[in-house]
Amino acid sequence: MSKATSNGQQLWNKVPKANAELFALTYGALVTEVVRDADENLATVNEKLEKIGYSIGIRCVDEFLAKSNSPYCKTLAETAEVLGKTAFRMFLGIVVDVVQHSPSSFSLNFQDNPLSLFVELPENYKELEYSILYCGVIRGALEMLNYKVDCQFVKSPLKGDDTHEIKVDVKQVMSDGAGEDYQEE
Amino acid sequence: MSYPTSVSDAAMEFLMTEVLRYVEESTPKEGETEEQAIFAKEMAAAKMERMGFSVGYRLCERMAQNRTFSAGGKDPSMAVAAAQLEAVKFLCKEIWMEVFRKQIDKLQTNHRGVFVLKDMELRWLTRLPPNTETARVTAIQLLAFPCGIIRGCLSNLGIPAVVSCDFLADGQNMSACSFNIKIK
Repeated sequence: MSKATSNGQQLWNKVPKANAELFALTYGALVTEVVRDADENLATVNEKLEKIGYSIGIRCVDEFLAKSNSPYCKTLAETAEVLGKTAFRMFLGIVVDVVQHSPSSFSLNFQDNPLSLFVELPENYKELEYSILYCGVIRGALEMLNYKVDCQFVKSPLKGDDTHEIKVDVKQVMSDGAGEDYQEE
Repeated sequence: MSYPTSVSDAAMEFLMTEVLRYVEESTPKEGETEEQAIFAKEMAAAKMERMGFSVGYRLCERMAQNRTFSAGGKDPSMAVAAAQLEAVKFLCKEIWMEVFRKQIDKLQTNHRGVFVLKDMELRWLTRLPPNTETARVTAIQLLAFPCGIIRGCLSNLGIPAVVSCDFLADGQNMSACSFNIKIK
């Protein structure tokens, strides 16, 4: 068992828990509202849900770094490992497999998805990326770690696949620092 | 296939924050006149309540399986009241336990369809700073959600009700509140 996995396991045993059904139902209610507000325009719905995820992501990375005691990651591969094995485990209690494709891309594979308990998509909602929240969270969290990424679902049981697969492509590694505007004169 | 039975509390809290934020963003911004501003707030509260309702309705459906809320052997009018009390007790104990991981602290009733539920420490409110106006406004908005949960649960059990909430905060302790249930 790798360090990231055992760390994730330990954290999961330690954190206070909430009912997964409540979690799933609350997210369901949120999706329903978003669909209603967007007049069933599914592209807009996906975009909005992703944004909601993004704003969770940029904040939950703080929570993670504060609680997890994770070692400093030197490469993207290590970051991916910690993201999949420690962070997902700590927040959602699910087991995630991390597959590296290239130095700048990796996939997260998992079976259980607390967001989509009880969910089945009707025929005319096949375009809805129900769990796209995760993509937003990952994008937000990695952006705080200076990775600009592209993140999308390539497999989802809601669309007939047998597992979930989220593919993450790193577009750009941002440089540290406060940016041009904040340089000292 | 096994399925997850719990997630971390932090994840739930992040989601709840976003729900609140989404509701605020998606309703029309405060209008120019006072009437419009109040209308906007009411829209937001209604939305929150609607979401709570759907959560409560479904959660109750899951949890109340294989249960009966009846008090047999009494005369019919008494039996209805007794069954309602059973339902509200179920709400205070089991549903509340699932949602807030504690039970309602105090249940009062006049035995004629009015119940008052007091919670001295609602978890979603514990982090709010005391003595600020904005925290108060947020708390009141947030409370529409549990109101919806209560209405949803009772509705699932076949009891139509009107639920309102009062904020008991005295400025120091922000997390005390009470829910008033009136069965139609």
